[in-house]
Amino acid sequence: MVECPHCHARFVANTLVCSECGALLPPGEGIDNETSPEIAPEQIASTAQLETPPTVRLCMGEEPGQSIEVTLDKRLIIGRSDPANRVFPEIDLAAHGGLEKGVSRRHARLSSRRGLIIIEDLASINGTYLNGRRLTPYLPEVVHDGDQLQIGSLPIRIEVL
Amino acid sequence: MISTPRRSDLGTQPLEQIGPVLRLRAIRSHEYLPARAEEQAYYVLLSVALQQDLSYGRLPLNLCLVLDRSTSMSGVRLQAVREAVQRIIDRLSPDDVLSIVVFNDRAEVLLPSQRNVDRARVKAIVSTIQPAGGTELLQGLGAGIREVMHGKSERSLNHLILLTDGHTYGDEQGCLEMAKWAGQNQISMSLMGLGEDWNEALLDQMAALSGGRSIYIDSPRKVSQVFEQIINFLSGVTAPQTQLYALPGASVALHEAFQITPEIRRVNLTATDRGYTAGLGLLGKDSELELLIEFRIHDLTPGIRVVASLNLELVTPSGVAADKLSREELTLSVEGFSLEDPSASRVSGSKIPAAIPNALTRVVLFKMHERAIADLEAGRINAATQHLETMATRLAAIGETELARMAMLEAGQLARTGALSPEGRKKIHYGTRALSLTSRGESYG
Repeated sequence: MVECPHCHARFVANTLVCSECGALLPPGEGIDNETSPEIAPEQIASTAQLETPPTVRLCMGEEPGQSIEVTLDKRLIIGRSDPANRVFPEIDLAAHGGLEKGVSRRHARLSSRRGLIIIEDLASINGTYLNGRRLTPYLPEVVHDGDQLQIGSLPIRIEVL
Repeated sequence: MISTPRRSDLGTQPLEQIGPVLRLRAIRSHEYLPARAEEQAYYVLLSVALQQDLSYGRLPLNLCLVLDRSTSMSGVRLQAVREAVQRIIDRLSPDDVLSIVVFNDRAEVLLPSQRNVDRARVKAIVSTIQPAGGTELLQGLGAGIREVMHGKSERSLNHLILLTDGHTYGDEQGCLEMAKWAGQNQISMSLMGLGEDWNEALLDQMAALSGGRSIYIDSPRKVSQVFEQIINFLSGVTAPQTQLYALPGASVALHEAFQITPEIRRVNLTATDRGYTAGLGLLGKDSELELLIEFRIHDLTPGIRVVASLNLELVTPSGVAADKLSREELTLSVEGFSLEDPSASRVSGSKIPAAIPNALTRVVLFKMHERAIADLEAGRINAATQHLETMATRLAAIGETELARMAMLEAGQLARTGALSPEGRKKIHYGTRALSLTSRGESYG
């Protein structure tokens, strides 16, 4: 069996591409990449990220209960739950005034790559701001400890634990 | 022919089989695999083309145009169709047969099936088409197939070109049955949807059953161009069907097969005493069929193991098996090596040709799209959204930025509204099928 380094789905030995997430699987024999510019070397590297995923606190205020702590072991959606439409984002801002503050159901995505923390706006209506600058939809950007995020009009301070 | 394994540091060598009519080329994922009981995947990318200098002769066309004239076709759409039809007429040879059917909720034969068409008269007839009524596909299809049957001869290449811009309701099952019947009677179809308001799943299935294609035309301006591509393609076709037979070796299973070019689609295989078989549709003189077949090898022992023998043959217009000239065979084999063998490190270092993961990436994108639509139709909006987002990420990674952007926007739209936009739905559907074409230049459709 081979395991996908990205989504951990398992496949028959020698399977070359993960059918779940589309990642190239680490080949036992190496892919002849010279004729294939579209395969980035980072996709071929068979060394799975071994570092422990970072943990982040999203602070909507100073009171207890006004922050959310998450471990970025996978990509997490920031948004506002809408049970009627079966939308349940991992980081749910509904209880933090999400609706009034213009948070989309699927607003942005928080993830980590090689120890870096990445934020990506998912074409939200009211936008995602990083330190006051509106992000281009679907263009991932790196977030640092102490950075100020804004989801719609909801300010969030980022603390890396 | 059995390939002779060669130890090479340059990756697996393509196998070639060049006959008087057909050219086969197989790129294999592995020449050597470790001997073990565990199931192992093995891929082959098979391309099939006609010999360039082929004097096999052009088949006379027996063509029927089936045109939607429902109310929604009025204005530029109908005008575009009139022009496209004139282009087709200008390209016909005297021995070609043409018929024209228009339909809304009923069908009308504008030009009964005939040879040596009077161009001026046909152009005059076509210019009188007036839009009215709704769309009932089965009406037009039935009348069109009847005309093709009238014009059919022992040597003719029978084809139906249908253009619609509307949803048909209640007659879908009948359309599928008729498409299947057409396929069994050597009538292939090009099914074109114009604009956004028609059923791509239905046209896809009908195309697959008849051995043809479904084509999305997003703007009336492109109608003429698409008609012209089809007629160009048909003029170079030498057989109405290309048949594949794949016979797996001992302890080898055929897992699945996909056509990669001219467009990505699942190849549905049927078991026969000659192995698995599937019709691959029309093969034109400047076109190439490419298939990706995945085998699963069990209990590989040291030594040479036959993975499969692949047979390709052209079927003549009367439906009988091809002559020996237009039949070619390739045998795939792999050498199992023991991990204890000191020379094993050399062979295990051989590389997989990039063409295989490239083709496979496109197949995976196609499957993700299939799953997204299945989830959407079952009301699993979150799952469908996630599939679309994953697709978008992968599309971006292979440089398909426009389609990636479209998939991302549609994922957002889906999450917000629970539905795809009609335009996005069509563009992603046909975009993922055409992925194989991007780096290969123009092809049919």
